[in-house]
Amino acid sequence: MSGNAAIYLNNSASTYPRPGEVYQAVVRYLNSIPHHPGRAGLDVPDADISMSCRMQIAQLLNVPDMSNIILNSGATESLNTIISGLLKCSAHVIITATEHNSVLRPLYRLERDRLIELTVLDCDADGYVNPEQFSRAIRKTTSMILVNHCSNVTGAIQDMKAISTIAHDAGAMLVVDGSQSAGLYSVDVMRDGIDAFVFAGHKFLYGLAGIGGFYLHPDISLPPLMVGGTGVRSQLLYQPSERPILYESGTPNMAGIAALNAGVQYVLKTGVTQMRRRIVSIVRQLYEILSQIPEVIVYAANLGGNSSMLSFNVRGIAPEETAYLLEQSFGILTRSGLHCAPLIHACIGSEPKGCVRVSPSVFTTEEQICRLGEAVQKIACMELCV
Amino acid sequence: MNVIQTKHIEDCFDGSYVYELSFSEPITESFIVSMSAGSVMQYFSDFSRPFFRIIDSDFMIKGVEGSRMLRIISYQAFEKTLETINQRINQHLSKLNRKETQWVND
Repeated sequence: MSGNAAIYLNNSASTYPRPGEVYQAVVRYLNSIPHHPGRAGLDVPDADISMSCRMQIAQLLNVPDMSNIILNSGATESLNTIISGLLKCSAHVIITATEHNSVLRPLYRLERDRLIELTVLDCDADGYVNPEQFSRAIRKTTSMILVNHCSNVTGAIQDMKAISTIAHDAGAMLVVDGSQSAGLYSVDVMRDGIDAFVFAGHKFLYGLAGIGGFYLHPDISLPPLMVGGTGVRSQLLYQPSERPILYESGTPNMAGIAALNAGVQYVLKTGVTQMRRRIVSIVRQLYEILSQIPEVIVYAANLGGNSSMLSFNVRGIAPEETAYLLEQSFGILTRSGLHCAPLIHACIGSEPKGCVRVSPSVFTTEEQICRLGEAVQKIACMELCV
Repeated sequence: MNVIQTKHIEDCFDGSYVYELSFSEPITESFIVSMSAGSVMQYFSDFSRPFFRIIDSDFMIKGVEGSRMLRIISYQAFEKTLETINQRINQHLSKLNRKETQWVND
């Protein structure tokens, strides 16, 4: 990236740039005769990209049987499928203040319609929820704990193992929104006792927007959100019951799957720990710079930058104004506002307008972070200079 | 220098309205000066692309030199603000025309 090129620091929304292999995989797919598994296309070796993709995601999450990896349009579809399919009338659900609207809105709708009861646990100023809070919130009717593994505002990571023990002791299931953690943190659904794990393809799995999916424990019965053509067993007038096709109706997003396949391959090859270390070192560098500027409020400051992202505000300047200045005057793209996680801001102190979030990727350089630091310094001086 | 698009961004809780104007050409320093006639101007020249704010009792304009867009936060009906802005744009254009004519005559 040249000195004057735009600096992209909004990887928690969608990652950019992607590894070269991802672009090559998409171009290769688009230049090939369309191949849809079970439907049509030339029978060539390794043509079944979706099988390869499923296999690699299973490896990433330590899922023994890859048929329990469902591919769809992403985390929102996955969460809607799980929430609408698994919650019975009068069920009690526990979530946290760190949740994204893709969790909040489906659940709040069910609560408004008096179909479920909902408990929202506050997090601390860094975005953590103490597992004991879950224990205290458990009721006889609790059937699900749904937790954001990695906050998309502070990067705080919840203790999956501890929460799953609490859930299972109460006869409830643990559903994990891994949109921000998949590809960045070690996820082992067996070790951590996760019953369903949702992932987005366009963040730290380096795929495209419009692809993602979920893992579902083999013993959990879940009706599909949609039914329709599956390309196989077409003589059946009802949806086939076997996974993954039970949940994969309609022509699949093969360009997205090709990208995700290449992205996950890159993650596996590079190593999750290696990728996270690189990103955390960049965030720590930014934390060191911003925490020296008196006009800057760094949120989740106790993490000391040991996170995959960093959120801040400049005193006296609205976050959207700071982000606007960074983008328009300095060519630095961040994200401002509530980040689709409206409840966390009361807990971390960024109410009512939210904050500016900086989320680097493995491709972010130290020089880019220095440029961001200089830009924030100038913005911070702005009000003092007039 | 013409306005090619007026986009309504949002209505704020405080009763103000946010609009975005797109121009046919990039915003220049002389345009900023013309737009600030009768208002307070803040100009941050040390930014990579200078940022400016024009503060008036009825509205605030903010933007970046070199960009084709600026934002207006209107504290009154936007039509009234737009009227003022159009007057200032026209004054800027006639100033430019005068300069061009002068240059041709010279």
